[in-house]
Amino acid sequence: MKIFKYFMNLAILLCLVQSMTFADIKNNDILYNQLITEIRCMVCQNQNIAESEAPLAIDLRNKVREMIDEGKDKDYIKKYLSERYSDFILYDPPFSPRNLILWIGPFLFLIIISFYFFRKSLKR
Amino acid sequence: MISYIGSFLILIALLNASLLVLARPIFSKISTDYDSLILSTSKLQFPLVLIAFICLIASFVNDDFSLRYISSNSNSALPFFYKISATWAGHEGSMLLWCLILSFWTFMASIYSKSLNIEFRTKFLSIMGFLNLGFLLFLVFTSNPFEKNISIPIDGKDLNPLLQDFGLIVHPPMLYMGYVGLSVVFSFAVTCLLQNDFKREWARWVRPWALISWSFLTLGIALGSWWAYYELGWGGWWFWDPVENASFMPWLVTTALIHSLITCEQKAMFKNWTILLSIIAFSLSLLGTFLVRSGILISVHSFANDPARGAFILLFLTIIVGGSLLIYFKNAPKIQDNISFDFFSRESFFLINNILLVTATFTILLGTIYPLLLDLLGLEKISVGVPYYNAVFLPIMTPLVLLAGYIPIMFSSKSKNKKYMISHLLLSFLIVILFTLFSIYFLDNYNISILLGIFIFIWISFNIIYDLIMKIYFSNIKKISFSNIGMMFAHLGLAVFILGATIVENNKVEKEVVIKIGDTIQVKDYTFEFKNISEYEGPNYQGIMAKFLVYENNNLLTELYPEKRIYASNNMPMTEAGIDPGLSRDLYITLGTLINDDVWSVRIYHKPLIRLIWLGALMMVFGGILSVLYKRKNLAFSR
Amino acid sequence: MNIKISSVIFIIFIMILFFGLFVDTRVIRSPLIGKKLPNYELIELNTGYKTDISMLPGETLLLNVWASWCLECIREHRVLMDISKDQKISIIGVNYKDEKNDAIGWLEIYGNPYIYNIYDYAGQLGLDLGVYGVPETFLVDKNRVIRAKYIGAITIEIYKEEILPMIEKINENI
Repeated sequence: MKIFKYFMNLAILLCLVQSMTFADIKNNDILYNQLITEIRCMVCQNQNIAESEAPLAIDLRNKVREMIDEGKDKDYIKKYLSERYSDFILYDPPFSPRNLILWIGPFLFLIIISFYFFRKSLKR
Repeated sequence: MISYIGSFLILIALLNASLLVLARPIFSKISTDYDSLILSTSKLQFPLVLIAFICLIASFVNDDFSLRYISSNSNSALPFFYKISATWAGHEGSMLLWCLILSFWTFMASIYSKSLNIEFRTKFLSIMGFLNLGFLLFLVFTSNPFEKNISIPIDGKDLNPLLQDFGLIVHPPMLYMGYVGLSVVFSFAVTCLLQNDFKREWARWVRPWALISWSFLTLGIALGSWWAYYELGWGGWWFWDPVENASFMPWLVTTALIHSLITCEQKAMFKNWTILLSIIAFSLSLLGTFLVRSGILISVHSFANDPARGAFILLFLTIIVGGSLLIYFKNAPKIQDNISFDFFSRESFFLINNILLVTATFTILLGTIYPLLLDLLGLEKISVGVPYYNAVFLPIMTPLVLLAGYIPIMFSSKSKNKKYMISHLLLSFLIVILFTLFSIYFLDNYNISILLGIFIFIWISFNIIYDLIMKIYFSNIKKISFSNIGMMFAHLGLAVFILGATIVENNKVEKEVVIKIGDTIQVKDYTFEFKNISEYEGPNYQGIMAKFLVYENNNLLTELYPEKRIYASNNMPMTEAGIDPGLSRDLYITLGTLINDDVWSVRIYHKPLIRLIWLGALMMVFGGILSVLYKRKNLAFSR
Repeated sequence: MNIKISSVIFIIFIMILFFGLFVDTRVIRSPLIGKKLPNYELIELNTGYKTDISMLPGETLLLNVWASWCLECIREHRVLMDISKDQKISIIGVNYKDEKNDAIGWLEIYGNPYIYNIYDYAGQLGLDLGVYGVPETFLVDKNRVIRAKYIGAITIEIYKEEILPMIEKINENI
């Protein structure tokens, strides 16, 4: 029972932390600075468009700035880019059936190995 | 001429490593004195590879462009120190450095293993020899740094400008010391499996090796992060790049290992698990080598793409990892390992620590390999980066660092009274909450993640300091061992790191501006005046340097000189950031592109507490080394 | 842990790494394939007349994104000239982020394989097409649906072995 409670608490904690990493950011500048680090520079070796000075990266930075100034939100901008350049351009892989294992794999792994170890080794 | 000596010595080293490997299976049938052969060959390996390495350095210094590796990684105009560090800047030379460090650890293992019984010791050194042999074969057949050019070029192509830097001189050797140090732990674990036993004194013998590898890994990763921060010109300190991940995975597993070894040593529990962790830790360091050198992943750090090299490392990796896992599954059940404990016990929390660290490792492995998997299945490619790791990795690490704040002191007190422990826990929890709320007073911006970060920082450091004070004033001072202080330092380092990382990620200010010479711009309390711009001639590049005056409340604080450099070799512009470092904040300027005449695009960053990230890492390294020193002394007594 | 499960996981893992060695990491499938060509309202390079999607010829065609600053495009240009002489498919150019005079001069030097050129100075059409490495070429059918995308210079091999069979397939189905 104790273990069960512990994992309940753990789950609650995880949800809490998860929700706050997704917290909305309203300020334009912060949104811009955050977004450009989450967009991949397609022509570079694994760099985001904030890091890169490649012409494409500069173009995309300007486009992002333009869309933010037009009042577009984060989801719109991400969708706008992925429709044109594929999901590869986003460092944030969408939560889709294709990426299911990627997103839930770690938590599944955690549950399985916790169960395996504690069942084996706890004193009864 | 010198390069021939190097070539020759590599071949001798190859022969020597073969002798070391074959001594047991072959010479044991001929003569009984194969032990001394193993002991001497395991020591001889190091000087052989060392002299070969020195030969390569000398060839670099002499501008011997008849060697292909040198003509493509150096240039006669390259400054002297970079000629030396260029020795390990490319694939071939860094592989030789790898072999050198491996032979060094083999040498150390040979010297400091007198306390082990002779059969164990020779088996153990033979396995080290096998690793040496594998890497030397790889070096000779796919990446020989002493390979000749068909025609000798007049001058070399020059070293990649990004690598012409102090950071490069120190980062790879430190990282490799850690990566390769794990080979000692690995060989030891496999020997235990072959002997069907894992005694407590063996756990005590191997722990300093795990700790020292861990300390080097920590230092190597921290240096890499620091280098990326000032050299890549973007002010980031961690990028979740596949190659960074490749170094972070063994670090996490080794962290788990040094904790599980404690249980092994004190309670003789988790023997099999510890052996498995040792195997995984080194396997991940091999995997890292594969990922970096095969060109399989898109990364800024990748060496040139060559499937032949990749295939060779993969073959070696399959043999080493597959072989050791097979032995593990065959022999591990024979090792007596009675794991049994209460949920509310030290062992239980060590297990939770291990489970969380291994899960974190799994997360990173999944994030690194998943895009490749989708690609192979012909599905649309994806990128996995910062947002993914923030969402998955951080929640897994949070309970871990919360536990790190309390568990070490909870079980360090002699009192096993549960009621006392719980009331003590609640009390310190309350105090820490109060401190955290009080800290809001000093912040101009806060949200829940900042508060959680500060809470964790105060939680860990308060509990450690409290524990220390209690021990000094209320009990016998001799009870505080070096090892204990080492642990405290490492955990304090973790707390300091978390504080720095949280504050800089949440409160940094980044401004991308277009600015004219003579204009000023305000960032936080600082005024930046763009004074002038000048051109100058570097040893092997053309430099453009801007001068910024920085005022704090109208008083001149400092001058910053961000630069753009165009290296003759590749014509690519490189940025050199202008940084004013400080414990409380860094000011960071990079020069962007010329818009017109006097107008430039410039990026200015205000990075609060960013230095704490590396300070924390250094504290961890210091803690690790303290623990090693203690363990060494203890070992001397037990002999 | 079970030895069988572990071996299977290990072997799968090694296989992933092994086959990964032979994957070209640079090729990224465009999400636009099978979708309609995005609309645009731009001018024609030489004449300056307004042009939009409705003015495209109602047949299968190649849309080639190029620029005078792109070195790779010079190499590709010879192939495009051959394709245009072959007269099996017409080529429309998209002149991407270029100076008008440079582009016109470039065509005078190297020849003009295009029926006409859409002048995309601002690069918005390029963005809508997900262009990241000029030259890029799109195969568009008569319903204006993008059927294939080629990143980098088209070679005569790509033309004969991929583009021509693809055109035949498209024409059969209609």
